[in-house]
Amino acid sequence: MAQARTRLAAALSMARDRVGTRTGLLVLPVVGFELVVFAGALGYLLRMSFYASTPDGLYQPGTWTVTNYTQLLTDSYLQGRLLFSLQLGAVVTAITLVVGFIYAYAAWRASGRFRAVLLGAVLVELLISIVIKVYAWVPLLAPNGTFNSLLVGSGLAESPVALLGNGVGVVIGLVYSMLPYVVLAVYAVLTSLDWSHVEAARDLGASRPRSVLEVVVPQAVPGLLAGGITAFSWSTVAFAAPSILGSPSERTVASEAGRFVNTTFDWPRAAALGIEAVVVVVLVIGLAVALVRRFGPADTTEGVL
Amino acid sequence: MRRRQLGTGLFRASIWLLLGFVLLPIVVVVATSISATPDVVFPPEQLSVRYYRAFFLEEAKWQAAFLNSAIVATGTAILATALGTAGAYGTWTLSAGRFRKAITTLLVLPLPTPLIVLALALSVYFARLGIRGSYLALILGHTLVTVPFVFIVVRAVLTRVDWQTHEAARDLGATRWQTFREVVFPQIRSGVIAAAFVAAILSLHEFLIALFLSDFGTRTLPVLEWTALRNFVDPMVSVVSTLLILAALALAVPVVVVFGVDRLARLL
Repeated sequence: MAQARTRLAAALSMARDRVGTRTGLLVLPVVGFELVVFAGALGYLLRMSFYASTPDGLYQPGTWTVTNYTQLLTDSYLQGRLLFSLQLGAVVTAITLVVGFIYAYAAWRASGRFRAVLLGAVLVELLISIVIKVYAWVPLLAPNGTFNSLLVGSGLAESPVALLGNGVGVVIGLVYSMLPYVVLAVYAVLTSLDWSHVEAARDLGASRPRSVLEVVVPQAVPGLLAGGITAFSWSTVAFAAPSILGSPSERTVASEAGRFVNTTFDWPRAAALGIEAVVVVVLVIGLAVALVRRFGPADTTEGVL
Repeated sequence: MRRRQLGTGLFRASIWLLLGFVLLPIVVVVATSISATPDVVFPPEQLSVRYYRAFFLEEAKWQAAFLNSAIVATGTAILATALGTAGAYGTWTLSAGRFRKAITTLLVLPLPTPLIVLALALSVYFARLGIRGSYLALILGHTLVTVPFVFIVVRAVLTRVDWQTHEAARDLGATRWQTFREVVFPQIRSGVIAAAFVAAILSLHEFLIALFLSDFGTRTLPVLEWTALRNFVDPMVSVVSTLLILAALALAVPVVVVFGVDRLARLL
């Protein structure tokens, strides 16, 4: 096995030599693009966060100041929004991981056509604009909407339940939006898993739920981690769902940053807020990965981060 | 035994429920688009295509947004496919090592970056460069978020190339460009086209970057939907959403033909 692999590697590297290193220069246009657009924009955002803003909502180029950050860190309203954003991200991620795992597991165990339907459904959902995904929940969750008609009509509720314009609607919309990413990340890991291990656990007397919890879940940790990172980093700074499905008390840091850029034109403040949000999200994710590495099953975080 | 059957039944029921959860909003959008009444209710009480007629015949602002979306999606598909394909082919030929890993990381890094941060950064950066609000700004922004997908898709098809044919062509005296054009490219053509379609779909449906980079004259369909929703719920949003979903499905057909659902699910 090892020998075959070495031989394969040798053959591949020979093929690469034949193609020639000069062909490697083809990476230059895209590397240049990433440096100019991606690194350039992020670098400028960082620089912008150190510009002094002027009272009329503009900024003074060439200035260096940390006031944007000190003001930000002492602004109890914005820090409250950041805290709320993190809580929202955590709740959405936890729910999406559970639901997404069940879905991915079902797709993995399903045969032929039903598997294609389950995967096709999340792939279609993956492609759809966030605006459409969020908008579709409005007629379903509205006070006179589909769910409330069913609830009141069936006698389960006496009067319409508030599902829209509060945290419930926002969480539903975000779980819905994040689900495909978790499902696909977990599914990709499950397909490389050996079903006979689960059968062995069952032969040894483990119940079905227990065999899944103790054999499948630990091995799916890399997928859960990758999907969880995506879900957390995106739902914490969600923009569309809180605005359409929530109320002002569900505004995230992204909503505030958007307001600074497009309404009050306080760009240095928006830049500082965006950078603070990224730093905090990366720290939380780093902590989560470290915890999984420390206490989770061995060798599961390879390839993640 | 009984308990197990009950458990299996519960599991099955929850899977159907979850499938319903994924599909229901799509059904809602399509169903409310053929509603006859201006209030958006599901299920609709009366059916009519009056809002489709309005979209195609009357509503100038939606048609302008449609044109903007088409321009940006086409530009993005071309630029992202050219950059991503060249990048994938280039990295494939680099010998494995730190350098190749660094380039690969750089190319996929925009993917995990929160969109709001990209939108903020591009917004202030392009404003400084004086191109915010232009088609160019939108195409560059969308190319940034679609290049990683093109790169991943093309790299996947490159592993299926028969590299002996490449070697043979080079031995017979073909230049690098000739070899690529006549030997390698025909083998990856379907994958490259699929990648271009993926880029077009992603651009058509992208919202946040378009919101921050467009202006009144260049706003795309998702941005105009957003603007419309700020005022009140409008059946036209359902019509436009349905058309966008149909466009995505139509563009996805060739991609599914090339890769198959299962491979695609593991690739993306």
